Amino acid sequence: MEIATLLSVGLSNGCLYGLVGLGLVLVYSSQGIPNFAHGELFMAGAFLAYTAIVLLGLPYFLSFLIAVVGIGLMGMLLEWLAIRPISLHRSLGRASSEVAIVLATVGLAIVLKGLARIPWGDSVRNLPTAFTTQTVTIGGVAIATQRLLIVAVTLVLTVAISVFFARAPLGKKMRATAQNPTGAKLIGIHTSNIYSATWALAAACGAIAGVLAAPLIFLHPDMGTRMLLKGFAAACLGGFGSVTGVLLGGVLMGVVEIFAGRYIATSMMDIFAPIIIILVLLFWPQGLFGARRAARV
Amino acid sequence: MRTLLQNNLVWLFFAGTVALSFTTDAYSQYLMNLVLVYVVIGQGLNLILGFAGMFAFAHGAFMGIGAYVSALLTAKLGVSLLVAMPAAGVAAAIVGALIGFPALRVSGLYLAMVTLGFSEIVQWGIKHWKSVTGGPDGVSVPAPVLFGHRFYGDYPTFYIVVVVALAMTLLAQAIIRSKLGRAFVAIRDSEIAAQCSGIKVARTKVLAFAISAFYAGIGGSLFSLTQSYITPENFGFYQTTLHFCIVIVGGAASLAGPIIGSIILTWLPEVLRNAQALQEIGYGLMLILFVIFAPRGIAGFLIDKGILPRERFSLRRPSLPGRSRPAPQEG
Amino acid sequence: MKTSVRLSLVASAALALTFAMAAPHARADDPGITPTSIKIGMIGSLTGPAAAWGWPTINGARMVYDAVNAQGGINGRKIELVVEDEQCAPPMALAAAKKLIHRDKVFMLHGGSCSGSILATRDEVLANEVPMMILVATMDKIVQEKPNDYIYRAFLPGSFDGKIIADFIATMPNVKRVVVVGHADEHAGARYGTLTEGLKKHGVELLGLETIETELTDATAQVLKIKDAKPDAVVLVGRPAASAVFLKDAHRLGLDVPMIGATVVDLQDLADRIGGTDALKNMYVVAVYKGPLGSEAMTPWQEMLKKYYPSDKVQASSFLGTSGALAVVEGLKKAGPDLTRAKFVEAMNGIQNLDGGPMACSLSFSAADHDGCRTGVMWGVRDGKIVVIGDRWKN
Repeated sequence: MEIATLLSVGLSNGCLYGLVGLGLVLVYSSQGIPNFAHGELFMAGAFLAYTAIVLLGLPYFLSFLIAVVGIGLMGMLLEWLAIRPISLHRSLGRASSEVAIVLATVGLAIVLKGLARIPWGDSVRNLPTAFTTQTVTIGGVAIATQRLLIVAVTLVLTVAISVFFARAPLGKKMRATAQNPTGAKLIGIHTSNIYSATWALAAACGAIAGVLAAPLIFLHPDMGTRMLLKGFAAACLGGFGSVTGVLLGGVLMGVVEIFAGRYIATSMMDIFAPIIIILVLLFWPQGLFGARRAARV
Repeated sequence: MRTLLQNNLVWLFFAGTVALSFTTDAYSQYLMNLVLVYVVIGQGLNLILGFAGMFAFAHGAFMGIGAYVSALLTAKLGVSLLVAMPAAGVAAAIVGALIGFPALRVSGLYLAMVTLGFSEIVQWGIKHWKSVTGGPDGVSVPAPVLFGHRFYGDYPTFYIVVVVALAMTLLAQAIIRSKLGRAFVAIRDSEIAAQCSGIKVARTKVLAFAISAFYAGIGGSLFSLTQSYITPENFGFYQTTLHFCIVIVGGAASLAGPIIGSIILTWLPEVLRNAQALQEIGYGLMLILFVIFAPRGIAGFLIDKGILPRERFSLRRPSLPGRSRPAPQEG
Repeated sequence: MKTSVRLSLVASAALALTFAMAAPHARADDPGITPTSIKIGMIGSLTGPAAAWGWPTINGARMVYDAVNAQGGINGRKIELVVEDEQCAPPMALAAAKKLIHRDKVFMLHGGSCSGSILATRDEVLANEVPMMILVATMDKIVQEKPNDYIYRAFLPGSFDGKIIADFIATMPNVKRVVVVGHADEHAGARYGTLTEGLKKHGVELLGLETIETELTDATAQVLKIKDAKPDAVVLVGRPAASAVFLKDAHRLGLDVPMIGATVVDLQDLADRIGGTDALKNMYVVAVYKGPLGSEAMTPWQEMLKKYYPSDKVQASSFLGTSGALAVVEGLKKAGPDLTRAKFVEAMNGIQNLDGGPMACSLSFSAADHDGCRTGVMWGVRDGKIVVIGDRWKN
């Protein structure tokens, strides 16, 4: 009973971490950098949904769509504004490498957070849940409907993205670019378009996680900071490689975290993500669920 | 005359701070002290990021270790600052070396995440180890007594800070010019070539971490003097980002870079006090603009224009440290 | 190159020695006062992680000064404000304080929303003998640590919060075992000491202290752990968002013992966040105001805020700084037309039983005790409405 409750929450939290991690993995696969601005995309998604639902009074699922598409476009724009100029420098032989891009994403994170604070810094806001029924009882375990939605969306999304990479022409091109950018260019793939598409997809994943999580955690400009760390942990467990790996990593993270909190010490819960990141990267750099192959995504 | 000026801009800066301290009010003096604190930390980060080409995201934590060791030794055990400050540096260096070992196993940007995770853990540790660190309440830092004189207030603190900052800058210069410094640069430029020319890559990398952390530890000790009160939230991710901005905006792999960066990043937020929104996003914007348009920072620009002399190991064609693929397997 | 290095080294060392021994800089007498103005420096976390406590609390204090100015000022002097940001970062707070004291040369300071950062300014303020009114920082030692001749607070300090909770629990029937749940930050730390002491004194057993993150997404682990301990009541020392998450989960998981919250949260605010008072049926919160927002006692203050800052949202945090401004105004009035810092401090120390405005407490300061506000009352939810319970439990 208690175990079931913990599992249900750990699982849905884990799905959120997996979703955040998924966005990180996508960008990492294509450009080889951890995107430090991803937490802010998560936050921006939640605030865009808030604007649509609460301020404009649009229906929930339409707002959800607006947030996801809007933040996807924003991701594309950010890549075009702040990331592409750096990669261009690099190919021109004029400039730096991935670290410059990482620092640019750190800069983006600060800027986005600062911008969000101008209209929304003064107080904490609520995003309504998708359903009016707050909890359902399944087998004696009270589960928040929002959590069921989180799990459902994550599963659907994981399947969709796996199929996308396996079947869709754009997905195949993305994979090719990730594996060998020069080769991809040689066979006529516009790699810079692929990078845009990757950022859009990654940002959309972040926005989905943000909209799903917001009713549970309330909206404020700093809401993405901790989530980013947990997403990193999920991605590390997943070996920064496969779509299913990161989801499994997130779920493991969510479940272990909540059981550790319950049976060891609740003060441990803050520190769990960084410990996992360090341990995994040191001892299992391929991740627990990562593909052994070098191929990414 | 011009060349004389050019070659000594770094030293003129220190002389200038001393001269200025006669004319400033306590507010400017405090900011100048902060500039010098960040010069020390910036030089340390520059050694590892600019010269050795490794991506450590933990200088906020190293700085915190230094600040706490120095503050706790002087406040709780009554140890003299002459002992406490080196102890702060050494404590940070030991932790730095321990964190350096992962640098042998994971490379490039994985290292960024390991060090990021580490700095989270340090902050958590300071917050929860209440019996020693005072937890979130922080620690009060007593004014140091050196040679029978109590250094209380911004002006007296300045003399400690400026002397240490100058010494640490000289030390940085010595390191860069030494065999060790050349080994750093060799590893940055090509790890394999470095190994071939007989450089012990693993040992050098750990040493780079230890030295860089030593700088951050000393900087933390100085920082605690300027603050007179330290709390854990001083040493989070925000602090680390500030250090990166200092090195990148100032100019990586240049002795003058961290000095220029420290001046700009300490003064700018104060100048922007009335433009609050801008003040907060200012760091971020600067970081983005510099990595895009001037990846070698202001120092690089000044070197190109012939205003600053070309330093021996400055980046000609800028190459910040990157993920080396495939991951090297040594140690 | 070598020579010039050595030269500048020698020069700086020499200069250093000369000036390290120099006499402390002379200070002009009591800056910030002209025949027509008094300059007050305000410090708040206008941006940064605690921005939610920035402008709302600043404006809640500013409106008092605005109202005084509108009536012609104090002894012919209008209050002139300089507002600085501290971003909830200690170095920024110290820079702000130094700027206000040394550059703007203010007569006094009124500010501080983050305990950690305002603590960093304490030494500077005391050393320069600048009177200061704390805005909303609750950490005890900012004001209570000795020596302190200049820093005042007209807001319930954290330790009293803890004491009020402990005393209230003692009056609750059948409550012998409690669990405390809260953050590991200075805000919560300010309350734990007196809380555990008070519980011990009243013979209430403290079963444990559970931690919640400030950016809590879920409290299932905490709630289940607490349920396992079978406490008679739970004390909640959390920031609003985390508290709301905890209460929601407690409600969902059937943890239905009485909960007692610290001043950090406000019942109305919690109800807004959770969406109804269902999860708050058994919740009691230490409140500082005379009544809930919208009640008769609060109406004049809400109208005052609307008048001077019409775009501000009227929320629970809006009036936390108001009592401080009222005390400052009273002090300035009592100090008389020949205003000096010394006279102001003397006048402040003489304030007795001043009405706290929106605050439930009345303000009394003395030379030995600069914490003017020491009482708070419990509010609870009865029949879906927030009502004042008092300092003893009653049904």
